Amino acid sequence: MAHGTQSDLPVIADLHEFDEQSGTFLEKLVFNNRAAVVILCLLTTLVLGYQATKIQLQAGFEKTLPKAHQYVINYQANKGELKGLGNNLRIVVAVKEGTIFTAENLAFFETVNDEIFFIPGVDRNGMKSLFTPNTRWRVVTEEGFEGGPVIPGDFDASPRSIAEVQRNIARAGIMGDLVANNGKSAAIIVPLLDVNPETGERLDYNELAKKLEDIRDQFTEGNPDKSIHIIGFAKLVGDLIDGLFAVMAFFAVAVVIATVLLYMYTRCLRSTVMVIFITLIAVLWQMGILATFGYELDPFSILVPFLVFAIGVSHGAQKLNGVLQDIGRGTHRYIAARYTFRRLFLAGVTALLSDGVGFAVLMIIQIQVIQDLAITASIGVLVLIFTNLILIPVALSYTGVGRKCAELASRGAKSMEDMHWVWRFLLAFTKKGPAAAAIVVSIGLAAMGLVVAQDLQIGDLDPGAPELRADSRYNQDVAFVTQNYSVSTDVFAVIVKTPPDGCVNHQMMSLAGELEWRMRQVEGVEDVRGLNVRTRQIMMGINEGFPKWQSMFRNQDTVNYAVNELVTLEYVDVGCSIWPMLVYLSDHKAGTLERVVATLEEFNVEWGDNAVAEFLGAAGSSGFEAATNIVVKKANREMLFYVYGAVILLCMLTFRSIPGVICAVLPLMLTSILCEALMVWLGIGVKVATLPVIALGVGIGVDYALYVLTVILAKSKQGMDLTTAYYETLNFTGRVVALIGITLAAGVITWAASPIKFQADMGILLTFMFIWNMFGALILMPALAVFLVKPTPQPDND
Amino acid sequence: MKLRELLLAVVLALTVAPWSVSYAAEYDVLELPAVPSELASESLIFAIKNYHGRYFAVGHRGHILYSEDAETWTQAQVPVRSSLLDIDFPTPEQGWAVGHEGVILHSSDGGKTWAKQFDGIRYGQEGRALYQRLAEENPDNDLYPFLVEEMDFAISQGADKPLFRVNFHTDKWGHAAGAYGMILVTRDGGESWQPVLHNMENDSFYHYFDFADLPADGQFFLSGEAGLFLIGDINTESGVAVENVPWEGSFFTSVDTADGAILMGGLRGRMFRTADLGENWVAVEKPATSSIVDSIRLGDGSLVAVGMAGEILHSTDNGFNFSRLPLKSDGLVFTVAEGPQGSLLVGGPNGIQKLQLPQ
Repeated sequence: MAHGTQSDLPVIADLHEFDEQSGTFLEKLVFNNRAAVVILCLLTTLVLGYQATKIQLQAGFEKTLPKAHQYVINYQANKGELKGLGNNLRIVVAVKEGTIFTAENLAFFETVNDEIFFIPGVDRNGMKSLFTPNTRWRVVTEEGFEGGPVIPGDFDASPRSIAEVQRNIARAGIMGDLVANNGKSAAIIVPLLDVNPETGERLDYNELAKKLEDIRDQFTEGNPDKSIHIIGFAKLVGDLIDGLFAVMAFFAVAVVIATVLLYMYTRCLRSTVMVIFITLIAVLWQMGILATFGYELDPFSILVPFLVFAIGVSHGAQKLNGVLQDIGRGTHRYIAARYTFRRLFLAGVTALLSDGVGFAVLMIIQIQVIQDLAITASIGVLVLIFTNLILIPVALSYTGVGRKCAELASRGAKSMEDMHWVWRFLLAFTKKGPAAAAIVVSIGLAAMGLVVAQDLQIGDLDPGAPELRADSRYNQDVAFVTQNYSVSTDVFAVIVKTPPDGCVNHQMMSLAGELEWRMRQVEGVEDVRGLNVRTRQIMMGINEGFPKWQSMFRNQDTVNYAVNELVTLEYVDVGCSIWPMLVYLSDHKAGTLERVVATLEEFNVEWGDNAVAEFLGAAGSSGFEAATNIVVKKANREMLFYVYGAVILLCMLTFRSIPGVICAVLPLMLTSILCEALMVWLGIGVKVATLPVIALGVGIGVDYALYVLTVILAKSKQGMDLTTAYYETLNFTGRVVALIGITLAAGVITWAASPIKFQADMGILLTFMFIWNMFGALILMPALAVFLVKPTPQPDND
Repeated sequence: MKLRELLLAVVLALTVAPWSVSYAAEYDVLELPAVPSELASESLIFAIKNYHGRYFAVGHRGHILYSEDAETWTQAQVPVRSSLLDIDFPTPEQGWAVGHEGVILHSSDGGKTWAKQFDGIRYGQEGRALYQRLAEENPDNDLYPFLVEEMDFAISQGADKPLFRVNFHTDKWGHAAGAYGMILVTRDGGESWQPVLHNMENDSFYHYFDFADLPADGQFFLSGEAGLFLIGDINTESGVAVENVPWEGSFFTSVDTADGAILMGGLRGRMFRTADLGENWVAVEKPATSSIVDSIRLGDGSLVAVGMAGEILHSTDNGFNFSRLPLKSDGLVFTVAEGPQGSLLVGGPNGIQKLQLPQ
């Protein structure tokens, strides 16, 4: 990378004295046709701006799954038969005073029930609650079975009638499932249809979520005794999309912060507005390109506009800085812009490419949201090369900068003593004593960080939906349901697959019983349900309900009869060959998931070689989390390996010096270690959302090293001692590095307020990495250089 | 050419053969030992009994537990993983347990370790041999050929029948009874078990759910499915059906009262009492409950009966009247036993619970 110095190009005030054929081919192409460049960009903006209006907000579910993991492959191969898993809503209607068993409260429940029945997308036949006809009770008598609907046909809301309903509920065994254990609420299970059979349209989660909120408002506003709690994947997605809208508002905040920072730095309103404006155009282009190629913005890729904006502003600031200084020295604005282009284009491209490497490394993770993030971010960086490295200098060549701020910029510090105390403080680290101190402190921090990072957890640690905050409405509803009902939202579903019609095989049932029992012993497993458990219970039921028949005894006729009843209840698919064994967990901590996975694997080592069934991992929220944890844990190390490999290679190419590489990379490593320690302190686990942070932190972090260290190395090659070299560097690019660090951090810190938990985690960690890498580049890097970089001795330098 | 083909065939056979006869393990609870589990006392329990100052509980997956204080339970070593349904200890050392797959287990060390004496596979084979021999020895008897057919059917079904009860009269002499009229006797401490279906008036092969010796010398009774009630003579090992049973529902449990009457409980919470071996019956006065699945006589002579849904009933007048005790069990109740210091031990899907009786 060829960094020139300020003074190697002549100051030319008169345009006629400038040789238009000077500079590289690219410079001539751009600046000798600058009107064409502006018009071309204008047209592009119109086209892509129109395209950008088509961008969709979406929070897909399958995109967050690690698609190459065997569990997800198993799920994808069988999901048609496993429809009971996942896409259900549980809507709970609760009263605060008394119980649900009053005429008024039951009527209220029925009204809500009917309202939900008519929501588009609801699978009305599958809906289940006290008031649906498929909720029945049954007892064994000497004549056989006796039963009926829980709400009898002649229900008239009289006390006698209500008492009968309560008796039926007990006989139907739906306490803790459709009625809360404390009787203060009742649930409606609402299966959803992914594709509307009437219209053929895909389920619109956003619209469904709105409709549910409308119903909640309609029935509970001004009705403090009643509350409605809604949980289920569709509601979660709706809340995530709401969160996305909130995050888009943060973009405006990030723009304001960046504008203020840039103005404080340049004191030039005209050029500040222009840099911000062109960077926003870059974001617009990027959106347009994404929409053109059919990408959607999801809670992950929404990060990209923020990053592109922040990176764009920092590069814009660089260009602006160059132009300001040249104009301040008296150079004509057109020539100043060309000089800046000439000096900084290559450096800018290298820095953007290194950012790109950080993004590209993410492609190795086989999770689509992360790969989408990598692609969209790469597109964004590519766009920046056109807008911020070419269009900004061209635009500045027309507009120039305010005279006053140009003078201010060119004044600079005349000597070390004149510098602001901050810069003098930084310069101190080029002396042996303070440098040694900085290195010792860093080693101490690294050691401490490594110790703390031992406790780094994989996966999500908090109860409820990890995507949202613990105190979000959704997670409060989850807490309400888990408190009052005997169901858990953390389900690990073993996919049991048999040959066609093999679901009645006694041997398969026995093996399932063995796995079920092993699962029950695992710490953190609360319950196991599924075909074999219900079959065993029905085998007792059809033998007069005598308890001693509750066993998987070897009578094929009895098993056939029992399973036959269960096919209609969707315990097993109609082909009688696939059923899920549902393992309910007390939480989704990594340890719990690992134990469940290990139990399944041990079982398969011992019993997997059989002719009757395959016991495959795994569907259900916890099955996917277990697979994700396995992939993430592996990817975490792999990614660090690749991203550091790439960064070291890039530094080698740029610096062509091993001490230079060490100076650049060690501070980044310190930041990576401290970032892991910070995650432990904040209770953030390694997960899909934090993986990109680490890659981005290192990839963008190396920018600083490129800007600072190239200049230091160049100066010390000229024979300058390190202090002088660093002084010159600070004067030239050092201040911009500080600006970049702060604008990057400002771009993402707003995320800390996101209602989406993992975005908040990403925001906090990225801010930390951007800021800490800046300190690393300004303090630790020169300190390391004291001991590693020796100035080339020059004969009689003075 | 020929040689090459032959060689090829040999090579193919050698490489393919080990794979083509791929051996798949069979999961057979009769061949797999019970696994020690911390959850054994907290999971499915079918029966709790109290013999010679020691408590025993049997449950699913070959679980046999014993305890001196009914608080801490020790899991015994058991060679099968069948659901075990009943246990009997005629002496402190000698004990038998029975269960699904027609399994009979024996312990001679007070219940610590167990060995298999019999199972449902042998029931069909040995039963067929026995009735085949008897049919040949008694060509005029038309019951034996019928029982040969029945045993052929048992062989074709495999070990699909549970033994619900085991009852030893001495440390050598005992009965085991179960589903589809299966009843066996041993006089040598279980060295051999013989079917005695031919001596019982149970032509429909109804299930035997309960079995007990009567106070009168040499008498026992069997109760079961569809109002089945037999009075037996222990010496002739024969049972005679009682004609005028007032009900056709199943009797799941029976208990003899302090005044020599028999109390029957069963389906839909129905209970009946007879003081004269089934000549006359009265319906027991009791609150409506789910099916009565177990009943016991306590040390003080009062009676306890449990409904499957967890109702615990008590009678202090030898079973004419029952009232509900204010005791709450966690989940369904399958069995009840008298515990230490005025307590009840109840067992069910959630394991063993100790409930304190009101004073």
